Amino acid sequence: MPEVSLFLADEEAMVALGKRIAGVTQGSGLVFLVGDLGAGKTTLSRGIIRGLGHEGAVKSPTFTLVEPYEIDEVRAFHFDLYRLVDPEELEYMGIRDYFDEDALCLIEWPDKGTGFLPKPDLTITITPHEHGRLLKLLPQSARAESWCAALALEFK
Amino acid sequence: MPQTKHEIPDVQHLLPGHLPQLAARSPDAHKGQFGHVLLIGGDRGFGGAALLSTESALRSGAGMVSLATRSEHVSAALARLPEVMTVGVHSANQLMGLLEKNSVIVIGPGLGEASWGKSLLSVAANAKQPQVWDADALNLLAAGNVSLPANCVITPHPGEAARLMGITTAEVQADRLNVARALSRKFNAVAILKGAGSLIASPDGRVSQCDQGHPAMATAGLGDVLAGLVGALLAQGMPAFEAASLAVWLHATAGDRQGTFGRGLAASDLIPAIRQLLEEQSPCLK
Repeated sequence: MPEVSLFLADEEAMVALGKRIAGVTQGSGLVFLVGDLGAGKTTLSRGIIRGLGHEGAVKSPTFTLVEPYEIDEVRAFHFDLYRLVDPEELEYMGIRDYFDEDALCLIEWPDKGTGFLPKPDLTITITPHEHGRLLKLLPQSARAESWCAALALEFK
Repeated sequence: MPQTKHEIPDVQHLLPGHLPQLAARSPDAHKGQFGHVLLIGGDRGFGGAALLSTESALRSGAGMVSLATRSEHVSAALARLPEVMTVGVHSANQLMGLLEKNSVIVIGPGLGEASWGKSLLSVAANAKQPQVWDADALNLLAAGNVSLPANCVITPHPGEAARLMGITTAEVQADRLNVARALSRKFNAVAILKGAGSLIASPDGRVSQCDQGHPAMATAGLGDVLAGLVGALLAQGMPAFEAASLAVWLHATAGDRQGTFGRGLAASDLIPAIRQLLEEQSPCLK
């Protein structure tokens, strides 16, 4: 399945898409979030985490590298690898443990972890476009193809 | 009359007979009544700090004690403390699985400031249990975007206090009382400002001061012992300010006793002395 392109006019639309991503993934999978500083990766992540049912604040994981969430039966991890000095640090923090049990893992700046991250289900690339954002959703697994098909129907 | 510098009246000096006490235990007491402390720390190269803290929690009356540390340290910990449930954790994900069973978290001794320690701290920061943040947890708190959960005790020495407040160590030492108060307000936590004449400040305005202590205590690992002790008192149901005050007094007074043997005090020497003092001060039986 080719990638899906969506235009989102504002932050509200970004959060709404995040909620739907939470819905289609049902709290499982590995999602890479690609885009420059300020592109809206964290906004989208906030929408996804809220969409899973989290009610508190969604903190930036820039400093701690990962923020964990436990929402009923669902476990989610929001990573921000921007400050990672060496991808090998991921090995020291037991990165593989996060992918074992099919939690939902959102990874901002995945290129900083090249060589230490598995292939994602889905890569979302965010770029500024006019006054909003253009999102490209590239499915890289069978389940992500069905997520994208569902999202494409709703957001076209 | 000119005002000279005088003691601010609401500082409570910690004195025998006026200390918080643990209630006596009923003859049919069981371990579930005295809490379950989880110690998180001990990155590579710093396993001893976590172990000292853990041993201190165990020997100060916590019902159960667990240790989450680097897997390389598990066999050493089991050999020294078979009573403790020691688990090797690589990641925040593994640590999350351990949290449910614990009533108190002590985090920081030997935690380090690398990715392992940071990711484990993010789990504690989101947990609901009362906590003690010590050592590297305080350095990470000072350095970055981590927030302290409610019901915490923080245990900075003057250097850590300086980093937490963004001032110099000399400034901390010049005005210890106000710094202790400011720490407790800034972090909405009970703050133990360590060093000669340790101060304990509560966000509700109470402050206590400990006049005990001995220069033989100027050695590594003493802070780890204190953190574990505070955790054990919290686990036994003492509120944070009382637990912090009693822990500081027990720790310093145990240091006085051990100090009579002179230089060369090891942090682990303090642990049996604390146990003995705790029994004198809060007897286990009525």
